[in-house]
Amino acid sequence: MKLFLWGGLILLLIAFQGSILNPLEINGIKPDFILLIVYLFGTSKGEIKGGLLGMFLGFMMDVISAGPIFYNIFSKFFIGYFAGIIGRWILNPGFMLHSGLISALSLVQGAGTLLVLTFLGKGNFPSDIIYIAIPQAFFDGALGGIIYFVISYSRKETISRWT
Amino acid sequence: MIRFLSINKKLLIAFLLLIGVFVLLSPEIKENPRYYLFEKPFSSTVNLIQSGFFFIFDGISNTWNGYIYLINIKEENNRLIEENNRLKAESVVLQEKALAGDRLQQLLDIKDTLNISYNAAGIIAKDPSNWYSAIVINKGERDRLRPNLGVITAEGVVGRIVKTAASYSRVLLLTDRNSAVAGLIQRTGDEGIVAGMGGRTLQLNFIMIDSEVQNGDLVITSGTDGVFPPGIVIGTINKIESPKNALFHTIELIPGVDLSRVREVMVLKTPLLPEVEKLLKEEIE
Repeated sequence: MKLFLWGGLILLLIAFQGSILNPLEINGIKPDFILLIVYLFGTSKGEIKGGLLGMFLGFMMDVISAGPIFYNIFSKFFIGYFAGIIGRWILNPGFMLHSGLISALSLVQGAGTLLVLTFLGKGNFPSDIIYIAIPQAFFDGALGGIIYFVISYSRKETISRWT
Repeated sequence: MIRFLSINKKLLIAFLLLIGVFVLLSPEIKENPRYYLFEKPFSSTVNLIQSGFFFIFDGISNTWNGYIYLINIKEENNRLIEENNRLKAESVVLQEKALAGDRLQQLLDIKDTLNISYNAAGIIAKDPSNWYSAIVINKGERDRLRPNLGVITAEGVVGRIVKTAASYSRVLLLTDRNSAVAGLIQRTGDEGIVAGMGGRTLQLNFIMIDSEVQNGDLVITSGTDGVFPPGIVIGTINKIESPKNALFHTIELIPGVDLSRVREVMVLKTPLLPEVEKLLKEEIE
């Protein structure tokens, strides 16, 4: 039952990324909601669970994307895994730190995509970094920070209500 | 950290091997014009959910446009009446030209290349990544669509179908870095290849340096690629660079269609050339 619920949630998240997020586009750039979910899940549930969710979501993203190779399965796995390490090693990080870390991970993921595209003879350096990777890193960082802030705030509210 | 890694080393290696297999196999999977068996259940379910989202949001949008947005309708109506009058006048001149063209065509015994049937389709999703430009449309093999069919709107070229399933198809947009269309400059008649750049602009390649190309020139399809019939708008020339000692101009185009706002498209059912059909069959087999 739990497995079906997780499967359903993964499919819903992927559908969300490809359709509902489109109106949020600013100058052709939309946030990578999947990256945010993988990161936030990884920080709270640890490396293995984070990596696993990243792997499944990345695989699904690759299936419905027009990219030339399966790259997200690899990048999202490492984001989930790395987020798990961050969650264990950094004590009480604020939303600003999370925002910065999400931006950094998004930038690394973007640089990796550019590397793959350059290898395939399709990359445009430096315009891809300036017009896609950096704006997306800022967008992901800002949105990730806001989501983390809302989650942590609502958690505090819930705790204070019961104590 | 080291202790954790040593405990989970086997699990980590298993994950990495699984990922490695997928990454290595992916070019073959991605280039196939049909969805693989393992892709179908995932992509079908995601597209079904996205169709639901599209249905809901389209309904909301239609309600907004139909009832709440009525405030601007009078202004819009006056503008349309003016435009209609202007177009009526233009149409008389164009009809005369078309008749002259028909007469010349009969004289030259040229086949009517624009006699192509088409299917209207709605866009249900866009590519989840910012690095690639693709859309998913709600028509597929059931509507006799197949890879390499051209997709257009009234404003011009949108892209071409690259992958089909029973009830949906993936369309690679004109702006994608893997996209290319045979085009020609309408004013000068110079032919070239229009390629996507991954951003919002296009590049027109292989236009000789002695061509008298200008900013604002219209680029249309030449019809030589077998995907699009001739005469469909691709875009307008925006920037021209002519480096010294170079063979070709470097030309940037603005697409005729605002691809971020497209919601409905037309799929051109261009008949396949027998040679191309044979090659496609071989590729699928």
